[in-house]
Amino acid sequence: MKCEKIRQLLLTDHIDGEIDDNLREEVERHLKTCSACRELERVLRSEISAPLKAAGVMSPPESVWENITEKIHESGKISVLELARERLFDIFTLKRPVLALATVMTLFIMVISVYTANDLLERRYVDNYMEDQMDLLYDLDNGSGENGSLYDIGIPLEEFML
Amino acid sequence: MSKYAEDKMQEIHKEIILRASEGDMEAFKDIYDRASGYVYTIAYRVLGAREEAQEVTQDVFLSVYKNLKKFRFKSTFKTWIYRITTNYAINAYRKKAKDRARNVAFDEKFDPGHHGDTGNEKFEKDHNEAVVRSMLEELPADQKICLILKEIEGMKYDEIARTLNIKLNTVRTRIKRAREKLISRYREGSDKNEVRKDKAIIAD
Repeated sequence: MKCEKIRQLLLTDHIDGEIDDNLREEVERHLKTCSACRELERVLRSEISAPLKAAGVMSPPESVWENITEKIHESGKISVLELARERLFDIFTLKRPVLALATVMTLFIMVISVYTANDLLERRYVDNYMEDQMDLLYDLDNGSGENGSLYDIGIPLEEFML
Repeated sequence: MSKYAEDKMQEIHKEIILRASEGDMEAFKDIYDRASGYVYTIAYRVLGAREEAQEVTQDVFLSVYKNLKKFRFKSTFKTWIYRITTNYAINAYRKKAKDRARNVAFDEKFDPGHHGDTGNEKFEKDHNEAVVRSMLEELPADQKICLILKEIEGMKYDEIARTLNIKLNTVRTRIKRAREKLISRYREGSDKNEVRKDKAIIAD
């Protein structure tokens, strides 16, 4: 393998341990015979990679957690109002299918209500009429009642017929 | 360093995540203890300034807290936190790019907080810190973040690709370019030192 190819592998997969075994053996064989590539590997490992690895993981100061909890509590207070606002917003911004279904249901209920109301009115009118007719027949039969003066012939109906 | 300090961030148990998503602050603190060091380190290494890194860490965890309910476990939680962190860190880096040189110059001297260090250990750590900072300052943000995730956070190429949502070969290319740049800088430095030594020998 040529130096250029080895160089590419040294800069990435080889030094990062992401190279397969066959290639790694090939690179190592090359390094035994090539001082320039060996020097590159040395610089990469000890001057570039080692200081970064040694830098390690750091910890944030305690104040960061304190600030986070403070902000969360503040946002918790605000969120009660926001929740109410969001609920109202949700009511007025229902999704289209939900809104369409609600409209259809409302119209259906309105039509049913009007129809039922008309039917009831009509039935009440008929009932009143029938009641009036019954009263009239009763009055004719008894010869009394508020319309008695119009139909009164002085004697009961049976006597008149005899 | 937190009680969960490891070389690499460990996966966080699903039950802890679910409890935190329901507003359980103890569970959220557990997540913070396990992840904050890694988040802070990335932010600090990208920005090169402690106060800015603290702000980014704060923003990252507030974002995590806010969005926990939306986390669907499609990626690992660790990848998700790293993704949020790199986004916040790079955005902060770009936003403050104009002032960056001034901020770095005026940033406090590095204090790792290891009070038990002997004088020699402290000197070595401070020296290493200066080297790391000067190396990372050289790199553009996209190369820098790949190198940090590789070398400091110990990620594999495929983890970096998933975190940054880029192709695996792009990760490889960025790391290669970053190292090429650092090697050429190192060699320039070595050459200057050689010239200085030669001049000193001649002057003697």
